[in-house]
Amino acid sequence: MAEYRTVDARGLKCPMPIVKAKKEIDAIPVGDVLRVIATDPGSVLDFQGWIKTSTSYELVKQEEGQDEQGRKTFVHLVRRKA
Amino acid sequence: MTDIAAAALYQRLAEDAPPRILDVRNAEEFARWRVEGPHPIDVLNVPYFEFVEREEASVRKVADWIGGRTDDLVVVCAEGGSSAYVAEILQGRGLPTVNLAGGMVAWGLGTTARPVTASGPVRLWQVLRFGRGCLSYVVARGEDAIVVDAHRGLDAYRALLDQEGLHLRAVFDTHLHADHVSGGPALARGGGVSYHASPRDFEGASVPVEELVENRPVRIGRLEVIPIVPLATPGHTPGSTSLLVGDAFLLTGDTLFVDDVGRPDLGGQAATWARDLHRTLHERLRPLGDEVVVLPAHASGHAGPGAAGALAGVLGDLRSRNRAMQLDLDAFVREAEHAAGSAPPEYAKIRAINLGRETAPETELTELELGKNQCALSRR
Repeated sequence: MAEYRTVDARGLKCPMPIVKAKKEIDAIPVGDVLRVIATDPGSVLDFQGWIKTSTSYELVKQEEGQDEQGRKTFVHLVRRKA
Repeated sequence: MTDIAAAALYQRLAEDAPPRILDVRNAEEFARWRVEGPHPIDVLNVPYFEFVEREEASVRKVADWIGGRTDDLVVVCAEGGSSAYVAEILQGRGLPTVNLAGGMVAWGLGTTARPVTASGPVRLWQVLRFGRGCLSYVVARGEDAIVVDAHRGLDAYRALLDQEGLHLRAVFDTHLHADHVSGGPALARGGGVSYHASPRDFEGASVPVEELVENRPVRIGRLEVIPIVPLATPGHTPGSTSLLVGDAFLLTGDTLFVDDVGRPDLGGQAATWARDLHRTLHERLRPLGDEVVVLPAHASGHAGPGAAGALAGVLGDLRSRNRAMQLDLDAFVREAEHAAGSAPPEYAKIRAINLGRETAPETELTELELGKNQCALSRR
């Protein structure tokens, strides 16, 4: 898999995780995967909805985790297809 | 861009020319729960991420929907951030837009208080939590007041007590609530007063509860501050207790609503509890006169009541018009069994919190309470 670039959206509320992700994904090479770490639980459905609005992206994976400060995190892996 | 507070929006929705609503949450959240008022609302759902991805097309979609109309447009999201983002975009394109401050979180906590009776020895206010259809009450005599079925937005009660120059003397819950987190224990603790509820619902509770005993007028301290007589009205829960205030008002909790009754199936014993509820409605309440004013804990219809009057009904009208009250025992039990099994999964956790057995951070409370209440038997 191509190298990730990571967007740290922890502590940010909507719309910022997607606004930041949108800015970054259009700046990475086609085929690369963007990794977005968020703490907003609402980001899970919002990322699913956002990806559906475009044929240029693919939602590779979403997973829950915990960061070093003990916060629950939601990681979204988005591939730029075109 | 300007903000509108939840309570102000609710007032506006009750007026003749209500604003239109642009909801920018995702389709799932929009389908689950949305802004509603006393009248139908013109509402459009365009998620904010569509504006992020294709601003031009999304703005056009909104402009087409607006057409030539000039009434106000209020943008709504979960917490107020995404709606502010979208409102700014629309405002920049020359579409006047107002943002719901605090989004659906604020909408879900917003309240409006209306006097049920403001003259006479006993004064009574109904506090409507409009986003969730929950009703609670402040009852006063002289400067002494009690609060019944408080939700967790305690500021609503404190503000009303302050404004009316009242002193809180006791706090009551008509039953163990499952659809929302009770503010009763915290309100009582904060005011240094007692919290009253039925021991049947609160057995094993970790919150301090003063028992309500059937037909024994409640005494607060040495004085019978306000004439309140608890009536056991089981069915929605085994401990459901209606409070008869001054022989004129019956605070029914989730036992009896204006045009429905409370669900008897939430405890997993639909048939048994339904029989209890039927007996409550037709035998236990029988001694009460037709003129007694029923004040329920939920607005039972889909839309809330109008912004002007309190939501209430007299017992005589309910006896002849409330559909669930017309059913005979067999039909009533059948309907309860039919409704059984569809309680929202959050209800178990909410009960545990209301018993003081569990706690949860504010964000989780908001999540647990998402959506409209589902306490009424037939209106679901």
